[in-house]
Amino acid sequence: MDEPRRTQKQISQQYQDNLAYYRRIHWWRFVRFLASATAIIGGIAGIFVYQRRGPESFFTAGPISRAHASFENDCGICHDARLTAGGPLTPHRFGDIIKDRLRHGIPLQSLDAKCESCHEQHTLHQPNVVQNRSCSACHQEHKGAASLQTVASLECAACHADAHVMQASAVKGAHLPASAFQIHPLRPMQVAFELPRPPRGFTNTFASFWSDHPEFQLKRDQARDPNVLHFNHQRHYASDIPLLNGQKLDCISCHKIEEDGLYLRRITFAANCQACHSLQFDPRNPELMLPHGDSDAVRAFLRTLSTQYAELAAKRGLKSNEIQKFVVQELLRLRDAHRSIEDIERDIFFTTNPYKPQETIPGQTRGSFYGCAVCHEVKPTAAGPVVTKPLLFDRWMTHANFNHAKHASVRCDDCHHATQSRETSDILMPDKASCVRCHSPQGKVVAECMTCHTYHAPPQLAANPSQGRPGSFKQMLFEAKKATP
Amino acid sequence: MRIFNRVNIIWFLFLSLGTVAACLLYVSTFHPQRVPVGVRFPQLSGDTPGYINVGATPLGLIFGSIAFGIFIFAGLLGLRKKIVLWRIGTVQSWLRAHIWLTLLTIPLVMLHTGFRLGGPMTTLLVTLYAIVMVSGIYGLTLQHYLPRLMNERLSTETVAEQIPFIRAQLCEVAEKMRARLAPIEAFTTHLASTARIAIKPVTEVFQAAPLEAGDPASEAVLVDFIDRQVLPYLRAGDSNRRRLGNPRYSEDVFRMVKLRVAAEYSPQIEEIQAWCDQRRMLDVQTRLQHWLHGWLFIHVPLSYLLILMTAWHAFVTLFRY
Repeated sequence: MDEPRRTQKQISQQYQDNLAYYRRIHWWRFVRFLASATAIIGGIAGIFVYQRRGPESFFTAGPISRAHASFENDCGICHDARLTAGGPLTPHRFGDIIKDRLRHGIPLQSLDAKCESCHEQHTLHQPNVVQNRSCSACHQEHKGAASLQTVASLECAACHADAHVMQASAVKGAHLPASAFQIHPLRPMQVAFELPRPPRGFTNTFASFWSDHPEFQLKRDQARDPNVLHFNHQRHYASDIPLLNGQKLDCISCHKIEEDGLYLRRITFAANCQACHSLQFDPRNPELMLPHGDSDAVRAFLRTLSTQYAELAAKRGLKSNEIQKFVVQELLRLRDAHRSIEDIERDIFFTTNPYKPQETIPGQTRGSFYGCAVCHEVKPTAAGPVVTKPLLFDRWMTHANFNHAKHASVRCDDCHHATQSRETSDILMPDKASCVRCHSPQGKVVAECMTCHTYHAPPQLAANPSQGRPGSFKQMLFEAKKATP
Repeated sequence: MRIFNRVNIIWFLFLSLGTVAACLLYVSTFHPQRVPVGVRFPQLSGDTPGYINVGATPLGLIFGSIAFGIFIFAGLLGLRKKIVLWRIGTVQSWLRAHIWLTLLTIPLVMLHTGFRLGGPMTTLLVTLYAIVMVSGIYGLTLQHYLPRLMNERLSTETVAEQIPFIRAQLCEVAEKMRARLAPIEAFTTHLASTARIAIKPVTEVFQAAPLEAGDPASEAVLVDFIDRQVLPYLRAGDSNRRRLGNPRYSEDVFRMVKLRVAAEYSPQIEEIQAWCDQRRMLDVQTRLQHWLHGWLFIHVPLSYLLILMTAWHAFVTLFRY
């Protein structure tokens, strides 16, 4: 450090001839003033020029989505670029607009109107929604090329995590008919299992699927399958069940995924049961099979047994005199076993024990026919036995979507637990915990609301919300009740 | 301005509380699932709950408006400094508020943007803001450390605006001393006869009265030293490259000159050395002053530009589109 040669006082004495220095602008200050003035004037000029002649894309809030990329440079298609005030911007109006913006945010109504000019029939959410959301609230544009259909769970949580909003929805929904509420669209001829809507609707508050999303209604209400068909899933996994096409019976032996990979094809006797459960009522003549699906047809078949045997004999290439002999022989044998045609009919319709020992049947052949009542509910009537038509559902959780193909890496039993089910009334749908195992931060599989749910109602229901869902179980029951005198 | 002192604790607490409050409001409005159950905050998401374009929501607008208000207030600091007698707080309080409130704009602006740059206009705004803030924080750091450094290195700090005047004064007194010394021509013969050193003739004619006759040899050395080193050093605009600008070299040279002149010339030499030391200190001070205030060339103009652009941004987003 330099040693001071002079005191501060001595130095200050040096200023005495230059005491007016503060009146002069130091060149540094002058340059800074010049730079600031240039920035201000240049800025104003730039704003003026850009406001008049600059490209509108300068004001964009971000890159536009791929879906709207074709009119990327035509802001007017979505935005109304007129002055919002709609007239001269007086101080009073200026203040009103500022207050309104601070209270309600930037208005999106004009944007929504523009959206709806192209995206017709896009109805909003359920009718108990207290306040419908703007299109832009969920489908946020100017966030890059990503699809606008991807909506963050945050959007749903904005209402579903808010107890006040949900309470208001519950109150509003209490006054609406259940048919006004929309479920996910069903395909034609799809039959859906639908439980009654809870008194408060689906207004429980929750923040995320994995944390406090309510248990699925099927599980929460311990719903039972109303199907009258007798089916024991567990029995079909038993080790003594014969192989099918050389393979052990498995879920996918019967349950086939549809082409789109979403849901399973409906189980039919012809496609899924007949291979094992053929309707061979006469073990000596396995080619002879009872018709399926119509009890009248079965009874007609039994009353024309002589014809059936004659046809069978003809197929086997017997001569006419041999046919006659064959028919008589077989009918006598049946009469010896069952005494009369009525007994045969009763045995066929009402036998319920499929596992009685049949010594005449080799062990590893397919299970023969033991009686309709083994699988079906058969009721005796004055007109004869009637088989109640089974009710098979295509959709169980109509409030959600599911894609079986995407879950191909998961074992069916991990979710459906079919190997433990003995009763037809068991609904083998997974509970929430099964889903959360994967669909949670711990499971590291996406668990957004829209992974399962759809916000918008289907357009056809939007047109007439009071109309029921085609193919829904509720509608079927309702119509059946109406038809009943 | 020193940051780490007791007065700033209140401001620091204010900044911390402001930041926490803003973050809580942001999280409760836009990420309600992350708020502990039962804790209620005012819902400021407006008519579009969950709308992620934060800046367009009431809360985003409130953040933006506060930040814009702080920008304007920060811009008024220049005016406050100009109007010394303005009795709305001391300049120091204004400066403190300027610093801490603008620091509060960092969370406000970040939350207003929703952590997105957006389009060209908003990107430009954020870039401007970043430059202004970085330059401001850089300047704040310099203002924190440099005054202490100046205090250590400059024992006699001069009013910055007086530096050119003092430098001219130093030059003037040196020239006067040179003029009072015997004209160099009188010694040329003597020096030539002794042939000890070669001396350049001085071209300038000084009006001051010559010093009383002394040791011609010593005076010749002194004149030569003043002409060849001292005056060029004191006259130089940028004296850093001169050898006398180096304190160690300067010390050695003056010691050497003292050895070469008669003892009665020592006071003059010490006086010259004091001028050179002062000039060196003035140079150091000038250099430090440049560091201390240089950042303002970026900070101030861009701050005004930022205010203008923010006003434009507010107008466009609030009243158009």
